[in-house]
Amino acid sequence: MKLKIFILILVAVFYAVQVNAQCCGAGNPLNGFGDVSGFQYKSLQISPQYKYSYSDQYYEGSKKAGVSPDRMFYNFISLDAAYGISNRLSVQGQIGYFINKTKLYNIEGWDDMTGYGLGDAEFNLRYSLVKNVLKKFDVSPSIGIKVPVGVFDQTVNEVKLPISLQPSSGSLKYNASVFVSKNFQKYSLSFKAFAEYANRIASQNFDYKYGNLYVVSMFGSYIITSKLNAVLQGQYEYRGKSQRENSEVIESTGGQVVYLIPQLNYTVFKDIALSLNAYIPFYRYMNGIQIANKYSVAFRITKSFNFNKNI
Amino acid sequence: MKNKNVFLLLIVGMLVCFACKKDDAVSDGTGAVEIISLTAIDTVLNAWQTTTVNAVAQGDGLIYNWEADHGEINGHGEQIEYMAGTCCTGINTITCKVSNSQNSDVKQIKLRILPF
Repeated sequence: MKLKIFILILVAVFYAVQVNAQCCGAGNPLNGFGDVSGFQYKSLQISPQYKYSYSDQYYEGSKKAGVSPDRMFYNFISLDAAYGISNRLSVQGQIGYFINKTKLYNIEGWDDMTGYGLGDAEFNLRYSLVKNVLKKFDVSPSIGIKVPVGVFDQTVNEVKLPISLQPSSGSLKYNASVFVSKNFQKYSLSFKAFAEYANRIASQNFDYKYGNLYVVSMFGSYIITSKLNAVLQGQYEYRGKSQRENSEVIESTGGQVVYLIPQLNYTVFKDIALSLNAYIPFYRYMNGIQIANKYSVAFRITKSFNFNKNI
Repeated sequence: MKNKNVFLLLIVGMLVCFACKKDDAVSDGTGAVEIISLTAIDTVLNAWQTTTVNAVAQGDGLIYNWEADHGEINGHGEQIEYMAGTCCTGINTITCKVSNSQNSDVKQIKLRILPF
């Protein structure tokens, strides 16, 4: 019974979160917690999360560029929830809030600038297409939408902040993914492929489209003790170039990044788990010259509820 | 006597008129607003090169609002600094809106940002 609960929580702490992996664009960031195939019928999970990210390196291609006009960091919190509508179908959501999103300029006379506020809200539907309990093999496709509920035109001292400091992305985005996992006794192996398309932002004084995002992740988890398990994820991310007005391609946008994401999960009580991960860029190729993320860390608490009286 | 009364009446009338006259030295943030000029020291910049943009406007109780479709603005009020990184090469538009409690005026200026 304890093992069942642990496995439930183990599976639960990896539920899907967005994979919007930009370092310095607007909108909710990636937190990198792993993914699961689905939820039990009538099981609910609530997860408040916190993430800190720091960026101070400009890259040109795969090499550090010889420029350093600014640095950036943010403190971000979000609330994630997931619910099993049936044994195969689950719904997941997230809403995020930037405590601060700050740019520190290395330019004489330039003051630091900070944005803050509500980011985006995301909703996903996941279906367990293949759920082989005996062989412990799952294949789960998912579709989702990200809605820019927060502010995208925040001003400070009557000056509109740049897009990189706006809390919301300002763009309606659609995503689709597929998750495959195979569980063994002490460990599991998983694979995820994800794609996101962003609608064009067309307002009075602004015309912009984020590049499409494609992410492929491989991860393995290992049970260290009955309460502690570790995960190592390798993630490849490709982002296309953005476009501005008249569909003009912006050359210094988009690129490819490979991350290593180590993670620890600890079960405090049977229905409460803690997770900690770090986002470590392993390889980068940035189009043109762009600022790139140096590192980020995230922390999450997961509380599970089971409303299914049959379990 | 009659002339004296008329004279006194005239004095009182003049005093009343002066009391009702608007004191231009006290601004109440109303009245017409007009941006006379919106200029930048440099209108062609390389990425991460800064320039000063200055708005000259007339009116009372003015508030200056700034936005750029691409790039970044630092400072506030009549004069700001502008810069755009490599993410924002091309022709960018800076919009200045000057307003008071009743009226406003808007002007734009375009700057060309070249690669680094």
